[in-house]
Amino acid sequence: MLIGVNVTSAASFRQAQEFRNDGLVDFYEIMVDNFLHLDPEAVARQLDGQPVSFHIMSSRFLHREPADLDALAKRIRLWIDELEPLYVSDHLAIHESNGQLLPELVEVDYTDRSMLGPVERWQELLGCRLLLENFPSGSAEGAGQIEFFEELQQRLGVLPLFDLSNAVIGQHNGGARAQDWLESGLQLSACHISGYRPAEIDGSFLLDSHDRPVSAESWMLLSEAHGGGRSPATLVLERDGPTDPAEWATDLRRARVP
Amino acid sequence: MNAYPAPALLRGLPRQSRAHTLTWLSLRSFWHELYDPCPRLREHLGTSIDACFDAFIDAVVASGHRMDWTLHLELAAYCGIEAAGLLEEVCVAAVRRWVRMDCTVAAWIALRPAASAERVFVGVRASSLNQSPQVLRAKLPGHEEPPHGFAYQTGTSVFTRPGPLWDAYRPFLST
Repeated sequence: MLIGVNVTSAASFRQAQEFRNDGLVDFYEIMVDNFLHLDPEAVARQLDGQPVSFHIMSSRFLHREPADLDALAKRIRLWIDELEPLYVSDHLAIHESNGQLLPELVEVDYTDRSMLGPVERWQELLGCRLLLENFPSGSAEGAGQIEFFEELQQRLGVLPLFDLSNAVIGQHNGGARAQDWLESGLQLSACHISGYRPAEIDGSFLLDSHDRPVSAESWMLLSEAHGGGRSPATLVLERDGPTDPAEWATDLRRARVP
Repeated sequence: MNAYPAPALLRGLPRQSRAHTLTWLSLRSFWHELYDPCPRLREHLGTSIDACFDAFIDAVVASGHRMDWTLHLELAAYCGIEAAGLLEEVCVAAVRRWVRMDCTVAAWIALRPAASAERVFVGVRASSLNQSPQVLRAKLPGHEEPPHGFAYQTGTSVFTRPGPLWDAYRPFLST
C-alpha cells in the first residue's frame, strides 16, 4: 500500500516533501486545479520522478458549460500526459444553485440517474479512468450512495475514491452504513482517511474537517478492509487548515501498520 | 437542497431539522470567508456585524450574483466603504479569493477601486509548487479612473498591461 498526503498549496507541498524525506510518504496527491496556471513540464522537472496522483476540487462538471469544461479538461490532460498520475479523482457534488456558487458542497440526489451523462462525458474529456470521492453524507438521503457508485462502476467504469472517514461520517449522520462499502462490489483500491469533528451548532452532526487526527472508528474501518482482503493500493492521509505536523506524522506512521 | 443557503431561508426552517443545521453551517462558512480576512471591517461594523452579514447575504443572493471572487467588492459597495484602509482590506481579500478560486491559466489579477484609482492591488499566483501566492500593493499614476466601482485585469505573465485593457466591475449592490 502506497501512503500519500494531499498537496493543496505551497505550504502543504513543502510539508509533504519533508514527510517524503523522512520516509513517511510515497506519493503526493496534488489538488491539480490549484496549480493549473503552472507549466506541467516545469512541475515535472521539479518533482523529478516523485509519484503523484491528481485530485480535482473545482471542475464543477455537473454545472459547467460544455466549451468551458472541454477547455478545463484539455489543461488537465496536459498535466496527465506529463506527470502520469497514479489516478485522477474528482468530487460528485452540487457546487452551484441557480448559477450561484455555494459556500459548501451539497450532496447530490442519488436517485437522479441523469447525472450519469455528465459523469461519462467528464471521464471521456479527461481521457483516463475517473475516480469520484464518496460524499460525507449529511442525512438519510445519503443512504443510496453505495448503489449509485455501483452503477457508476458497472455502467461507466468510474470507480470510487473511497474516503473511509467520509463513510464513517455518513453513517453517523444517517447515511449508508460504513461497513456496507466494504461489503459492496465496489473496487476500493484508492482511499482517503482524515479527521472530523462535531458541528458547533449540533454536536450530534459530524463535519469532514480534516483538522484533527484520524478517529478510532476510521482506523477500525481501515483495519476491517485489511482483514477482509480489501487493502487499498493507495491511502492518502488528508489534512487541511492549521495543522500540527507531529500529529500528521503520527497518523502517517500508524497507517503503515496493517 | 435546491434553495441557496441564505439567512432568509434559515429563518423559515425548524431549528431542530437537519436542513437547519446544514444551512447554518453553510452560512457560518460564508461568514468566515467574508470577515476573517477583514479585521478592520469587523471592528468598523462592531455589534452590527451579524445583522450586516444577514442583510448583505440576503441581498446578494437575491441579486443573482455569481458569489465568485468579486463578493468582497459587493460587500464594500453594500456597506458604502470609502475609507482607504477598509477599501484596501476588501480589495486584498478579493484578489486573494481570486487567487484561490480561479482555475484558468491566468497568473495574476490587478484590481483598483474608483475611490482610490492610483492604488492597485495585485494577486500573483504561485510560480512553482513550493512558492506561495503573493499580494502586492502599488501605485499607478496617470491611469484613467474607472467610472464606477472597480477595474481589474488578469494576465498570464507578471507585468501590467496599459490602461485601456482594464475591465470594469460595477457591483450589483451599488447605491
